[in-house]
Amino acid sequence: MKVSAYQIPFVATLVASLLLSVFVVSLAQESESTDSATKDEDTIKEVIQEQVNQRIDQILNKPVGVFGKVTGITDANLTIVDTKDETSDFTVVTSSLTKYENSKGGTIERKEIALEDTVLVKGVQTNMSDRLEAEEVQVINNYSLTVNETMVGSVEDTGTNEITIDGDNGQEVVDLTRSHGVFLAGKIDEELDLSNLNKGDEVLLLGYRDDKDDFIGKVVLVTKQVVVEESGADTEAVEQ
Amino acid sequence: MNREFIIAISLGFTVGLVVMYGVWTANRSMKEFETVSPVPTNPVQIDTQAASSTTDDIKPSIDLVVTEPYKHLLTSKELITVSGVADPSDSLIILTELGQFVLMPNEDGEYSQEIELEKGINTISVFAVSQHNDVQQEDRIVTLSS
Repeated sequence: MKVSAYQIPFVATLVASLLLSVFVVSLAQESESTDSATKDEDTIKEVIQEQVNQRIDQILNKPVGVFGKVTGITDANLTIVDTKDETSDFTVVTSSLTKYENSKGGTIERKEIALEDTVLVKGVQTNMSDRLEAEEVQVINNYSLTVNETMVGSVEDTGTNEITIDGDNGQEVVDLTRSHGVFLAGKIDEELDLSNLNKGDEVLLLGYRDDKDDFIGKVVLVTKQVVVEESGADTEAVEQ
Repeated sequence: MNREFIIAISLGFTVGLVVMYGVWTANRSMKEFETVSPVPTNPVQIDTQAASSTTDDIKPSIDLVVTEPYKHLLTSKELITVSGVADPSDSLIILTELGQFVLMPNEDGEYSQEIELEKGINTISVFAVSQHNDVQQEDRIVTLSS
């Protein structure tokens, strides 16, 4: 095959141009992807930073109200033990701006606060620590915190607003005046009437004990129902 | 250098430029297409039936979590939200000073309930009762300040 004298410079220039184009394109791509990646990275960083800042703001300097018993008093601080969680001690930092009140809201002096007093400290919990910067310390002795609990037993009898339960502590009458209702466990959209309960039904009661240690029921969950047959002679337990 | 030689070099350079422009344009178009409609390079086929049967076999129960309110919250708002996560099959009971709420979490186990506070100290208890009647309880003490 005869090669023309002009073919050699033509092909050589063409190949050189192509190689140059490949080089230029790959350089451009690399630069573009680096720019884009940097931009994406910056955006993600900004979003994360904003979220982290918001979260930190929420965690640090939380406004809190801690109900506890005074176990220590110094010139600068009070130490209290959380009434709900007795393993939690708090150092209450007081200042000249801290207000002191009695249970009726009357102003008292700091020196009137004594060991064993029950107080409600309103202030700011800093840096998730056990340090409270107190804005107000209110002495509220003779206040009992509501302690919600459960009671399990079988139904002995039912009244208009009460239910007699045979539980771990023997028979106990539960006040249901404040009851929200009676529900089948696992089928809470089906509300029952107290009169639907039968002797032997197993229930889980949720409520609290009052000052007299009487159980005040708020919600009754029926966990096992007995089915009373027509004859009334036989009963069969049906688990819900 | 004669005239034909210069024409050959020019032609080679021009063709090279045209090819380069073509490659660059095609490359740019491909990139825009990927940005507008990203297509997974390795699409994964999810066998929902297999996944659900595996879940049914294991079915780990989720511990009750109360995400809000936080412990010892001090607020001036009479209405606050109690929310968190529980096992989707659990019955949830929220006891407050002023009332009680019976609800179910959604299919992801999330729950949320707006509650009213009374002035002063409020005990809020969240109970999760499982299908086997196991009970979990989480309490929060919230103070409503005037």
